[in-house]
Amino acid sequence: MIRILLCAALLLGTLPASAAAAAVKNPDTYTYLTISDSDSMDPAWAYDSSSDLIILNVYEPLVMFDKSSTERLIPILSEKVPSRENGLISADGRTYTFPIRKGVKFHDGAPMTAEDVKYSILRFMLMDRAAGPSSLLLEPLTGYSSTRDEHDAVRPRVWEDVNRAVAVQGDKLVLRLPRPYAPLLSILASWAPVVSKAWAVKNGDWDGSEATWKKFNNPDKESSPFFERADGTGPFKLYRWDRKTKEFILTRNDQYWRAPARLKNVVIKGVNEFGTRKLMLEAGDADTIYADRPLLSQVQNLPGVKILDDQPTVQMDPIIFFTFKINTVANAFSGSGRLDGNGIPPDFFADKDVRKGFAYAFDYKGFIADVWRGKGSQAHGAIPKSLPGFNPSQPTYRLDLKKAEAHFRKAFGGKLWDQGFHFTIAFNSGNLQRQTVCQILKRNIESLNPKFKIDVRSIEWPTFLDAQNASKLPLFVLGWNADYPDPHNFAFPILHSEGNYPQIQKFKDPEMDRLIDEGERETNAAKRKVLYARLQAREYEEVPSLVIVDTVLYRTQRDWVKGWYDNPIFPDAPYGGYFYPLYKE
Amino acid sequence: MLKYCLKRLAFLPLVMFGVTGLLFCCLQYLSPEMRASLYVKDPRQLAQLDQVIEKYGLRKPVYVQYAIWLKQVAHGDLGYSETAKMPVSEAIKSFFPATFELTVMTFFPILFVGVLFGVL
Repeated sequence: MIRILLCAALLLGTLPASAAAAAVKNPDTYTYLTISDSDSMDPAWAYDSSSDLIILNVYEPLVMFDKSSTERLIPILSEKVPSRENGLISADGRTYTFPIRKGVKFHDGAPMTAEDVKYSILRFMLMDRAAGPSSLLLEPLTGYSSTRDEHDAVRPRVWEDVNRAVAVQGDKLVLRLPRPYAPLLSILASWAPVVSKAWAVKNGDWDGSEATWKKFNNPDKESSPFFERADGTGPFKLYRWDRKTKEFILTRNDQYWRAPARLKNVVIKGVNEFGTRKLMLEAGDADTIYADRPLLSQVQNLPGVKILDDQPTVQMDPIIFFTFKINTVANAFSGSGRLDGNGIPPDFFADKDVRKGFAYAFDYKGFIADVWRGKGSQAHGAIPKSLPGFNPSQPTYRLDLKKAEAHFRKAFGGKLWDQGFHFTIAFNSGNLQRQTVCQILKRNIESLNPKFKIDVRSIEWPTFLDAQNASKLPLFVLGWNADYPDPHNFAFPILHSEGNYPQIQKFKDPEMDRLIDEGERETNAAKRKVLYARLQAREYEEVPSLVIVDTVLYRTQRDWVKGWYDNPIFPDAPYGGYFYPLYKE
Repeated sequence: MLKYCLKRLAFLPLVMFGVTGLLFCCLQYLSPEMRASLYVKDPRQLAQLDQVIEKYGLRKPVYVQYAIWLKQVAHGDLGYSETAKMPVSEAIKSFFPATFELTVMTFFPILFVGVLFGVL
């Protein structure tokens, strides 16, 4: 008996004392190690995920998505989420009324009012800095995407238009749209959070008046006080941004209008070396680090570290884009510029059989198995799986070299198969995914016919941008990250003739344009679903580009981090995101 | 000796003018799109590439761009460094001590070895 008891005691003594061993390091401070640099803390300027991550936690919008949902909204600085049911969206879908929450204070103690909300939205639209996010609200609220025309001159009626669109009525903010715009609330959930007008004026920024707004249009980045300082209503304050050490320090806002955050400090530090990030994570000096799919095996079995995989995303990357009208003048990528076996003609990809040939020559499943280690699923169209409008029954292309050959034999009336072709695909260097895509295409297509020759070249981003803008790249591989979680934000840039990519591809399909325009205006969710289903069916038929994978990502965090939830639209999700619900124990 | 030093110092602005002018001309071999790529890193910004080029005057003739830059410098505005993520003057101030230290530490070995090889 005593022997049994002794053995039991010994056993218990040697059990891993996991509870005691991993004492929470820095329980009040949460540290996230990232790789990206931030551009600016100004919500009207920033258009990169690093900056948007800070802005998400320091400022607040009128509404936000409910936890992990990309469809349900909760009111934040607005007291209610406008809807047709509660009458805050008018019957014609053109007027939105937001009763502004009372009792909310900015970090400097001043009260937040509807005037601040109007100021913030106007400032977001009127700053309109080149390559910034202002078009996201300019489009729905004025109908045009920039305050300046093609000659870079300010449009004449901008001030009237924005003031007609954004008005204060007592303690309510009223938005009046030129026509119904289905994604509006989705956009307001991610952009134009509320800044303090008084703080802005005190620190030399725009005073909100007609007389001076043009001076602040398309400004220099660092001229604004919002560039490196913040005064918002969010659960955290921006304590410091040290650009030399690439570090952000956020501190808890104890006057927050909801229960204050549980974390006292948040540190976001840029550490480019994965080795260093990993060591810091292991030592407990970091709570979360940025680490992508190829590095999973190195973080998987670390003691005290948890992996949260299968996090959905709102992105479509990589996408293979075909250029319908290639600029073959002085173009090394298109070879001879003719269908003579030594190059490709400008309308090479304008032939649908060529595009279908490429579509059947890509190994989708193999790519996902190799590059994504089998995680994620094949995309069914331009709209990602995590958004409404995704159609799981939409047929997709699959690797079928026989079908590919059949299409190539038909292309150009049979001339393509006889003559062959030779051109270069370029990918921007440093991107392993896109490189793999190019190599898969090369290998499979060259295997069909010895006269088919494809070279794969790695080029630097500036060269890539230059060639792509001049329509010199016959085929290019890029991606799209959501601005807001709505199918329109994918359909338009990827498939509409006035969208980002079709403009470079010189591609136009009036039927797709029509479906996308209708989907933008249609506020009935069920009807929208039908429109986007038809759009993706057309996309499958016309194949202007090849979508490949619905990506899932994984998050690495210390197991003492609690309260985390993901929303794919959060900046830098699933690594960064919202710090408000987090705590360590 | 003093006159010699002063004479050399007087040449300094001319040298700077020449070097910066030469650098500007070399940079013009990069197309406006390439130079704009410093500011356009995300595919979401591709549609506005032309706006960025307009904003920074990247299509203007090289002497106009140089004149604009000179005017800025004359007003003490050295511009903003995208790589250092801070105004150029601030970047110079913050990195200068380390650069100075390195320069001083290497000056004597360079002088010594240089003279040695010169004397050989």
